[in-house]
Amino acid sequence: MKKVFRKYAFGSKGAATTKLNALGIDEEGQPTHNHSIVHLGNLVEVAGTYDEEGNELTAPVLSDTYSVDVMWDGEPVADWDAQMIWCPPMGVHTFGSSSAIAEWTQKCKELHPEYFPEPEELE
Amino acid sequence: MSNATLQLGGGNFAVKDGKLLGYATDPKTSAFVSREFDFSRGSNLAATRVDANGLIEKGRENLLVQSNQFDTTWFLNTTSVTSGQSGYDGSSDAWLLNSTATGFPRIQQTISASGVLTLSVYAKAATDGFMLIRTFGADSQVWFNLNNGNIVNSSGTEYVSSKTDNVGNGWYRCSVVLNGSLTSLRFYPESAYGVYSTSGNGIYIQDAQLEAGLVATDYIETGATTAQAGILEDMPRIDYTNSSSPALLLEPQRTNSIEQSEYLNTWNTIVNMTIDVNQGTSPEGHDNATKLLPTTFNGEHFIDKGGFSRTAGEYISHTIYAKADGYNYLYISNAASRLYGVYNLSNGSVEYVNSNGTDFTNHSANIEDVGNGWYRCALIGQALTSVATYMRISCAPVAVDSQGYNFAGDGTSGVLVYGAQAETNSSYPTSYIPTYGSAVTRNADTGIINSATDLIGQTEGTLFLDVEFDGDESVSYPSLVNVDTNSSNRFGILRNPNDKIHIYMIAGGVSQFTTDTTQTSGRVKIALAYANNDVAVYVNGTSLFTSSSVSVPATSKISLNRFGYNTTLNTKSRIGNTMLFKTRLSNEELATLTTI
Repeated sequence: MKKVFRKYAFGSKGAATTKLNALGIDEEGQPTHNHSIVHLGNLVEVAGTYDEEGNELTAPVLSDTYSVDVMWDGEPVADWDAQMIWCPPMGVHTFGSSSAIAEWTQKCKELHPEYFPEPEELE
Repeated sequence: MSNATLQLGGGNFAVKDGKLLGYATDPKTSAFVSREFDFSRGSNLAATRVDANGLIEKGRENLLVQSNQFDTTWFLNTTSVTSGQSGYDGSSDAWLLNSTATGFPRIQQTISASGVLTLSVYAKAATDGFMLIRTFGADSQVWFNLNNGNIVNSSGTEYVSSKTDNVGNGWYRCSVVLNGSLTSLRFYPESAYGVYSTSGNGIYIQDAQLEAGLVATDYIETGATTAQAGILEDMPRIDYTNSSSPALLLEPQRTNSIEQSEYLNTWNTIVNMTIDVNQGTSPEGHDNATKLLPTTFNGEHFIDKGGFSRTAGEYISHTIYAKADGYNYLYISNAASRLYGVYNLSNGSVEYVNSNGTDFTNHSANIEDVGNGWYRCALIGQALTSVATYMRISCAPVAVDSQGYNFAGDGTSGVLVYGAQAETNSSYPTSYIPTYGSAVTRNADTGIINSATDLIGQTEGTLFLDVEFDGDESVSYPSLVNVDTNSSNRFGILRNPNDKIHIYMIAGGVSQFTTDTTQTSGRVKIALAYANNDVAVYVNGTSLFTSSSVSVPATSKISLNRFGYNTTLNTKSRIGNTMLFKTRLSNEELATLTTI
């Protein structure tokens, strides 16, 4: 079965959970689907700084969206398209699959060629 | 004892075309025939195993296309290529790369790749004796003297390191390591350092490769698409950890949140520590270990990597491979004194492990000898607060009960490290997941035979499992090996959230029995023998449970690290052997079968 990797951003963790649960869960809350889900949460956009004791000097800056990466077991569910996002390869997280990375990179290049600048030809 | 209708392992694992082969006995001929498990992981670059040589094996990929077919796909800028030249490997597969005009003669390929990358090509002097390798996007340039293998100069904002390997007969494998988003790579023949080739002159080249990581590994030939080697996406991992006897390594989905597990120079905070890449042979068997070298400054010495969070109630498992190289003590911590472990790299012991009880609790540490002086050091703790956090690594000449030790380095002593990993929401560490710029997820390993009714005793039978397991399991009843049709008709051997192993049977939606081992880790042999109103469970040669009141469910699927009807309840195990019999073995046979 072809596996397809896509990235999504939701307004909140609750919104993400609602969407994930709609993919199917059993009575114990366990997924009944074969997709791989990774909750990235509110991404650290600027790392915090800490002293030698681990005390925070400057707080990390977190994204205001809740990120989820999905390795779809098959084609992505179309109902998720509104939350799909693209970024320069590969962002902060990827799945360790050559075929999925290649497919994602090709699709990203089609949709966002600006993320793949052509090299300068000047010497 | 009757023949097993299905056996997997027992010292002999076989894999064919990505399928895991179990062996069944043909009831008519008694001959062994293979029965295929559909095996799934969907991860190659994230998966590793310990191979028969005791070395970590990764999934590898040559990201170039037409890696030794330089007359197609590659762009020739005022150059020509001629095939059929004598190669470094005794073949006639090398190419003569000649300049055809003045200018900037080169051969190039456009590519999209990012992270820590190693670009390599075999090269030999012809009428020119120098080669420039230049990369764009990730900026680097390195000049190689092909007359003596020296690196004349190197530069670039994304340049990391370079080297030549003399492979004989005038050939060198020239490699450049860079860290960034690569868009194009070029090989230039040069007559001297900084002097481009002139018409009619050139060099020999062969077997170009671009791969993730800090070193060039064995060449992988590519054609119109990239090619992979080592661990492939759905390849079962036959693992030789701590043993010459192979076992099937099965693990749950895990993410390494450390975005650079090997190139530690990119970590967020580096305090009074020099980080030298490729300074020793790692547990992978390549010279890609990194030396952490405390400076002579009298004070603290550490490196931090953040970019991930801890969540209240969830465990984090941190691991890193380390080897003494002047100093014998490694320190691992999460958020400094909040959770830390101190490891003795000379005798393989944990000196201290602690947490502050406010940010972390339920701390534990482990150190595992992986050979050649290397240890895999693990630090595990349960977070009590939800906040962005970081993994810290340090080393010292002494061990103190703290997250670090202040001292002045001697300028030469340190430790070698490799393969840093932080697995969030994980109560035990799993195998190494390499990362080169992004956090990476390895999906769960699972296997199944969907149509196995003929292999399963429907009125009586025996299920046997020889397995190693460890760690504090936090998932509810994940499967080790399970036999089922659906959730209402099933039996098998599971993990238990109380860390034990759980043996059970359900028929018609009604629990027939459950029992747990007392053992919570290590190797265990379990046999479940069943017939109507007759069940016996033996563990390590001893009867654990019997019942004279059970109904046997109708079942059709055999699953590894999953259920037939659910793929998500996974755990970590090393299965040495599992067998199915269509007869209820006698109690004496069960005792013999399960004796370790």
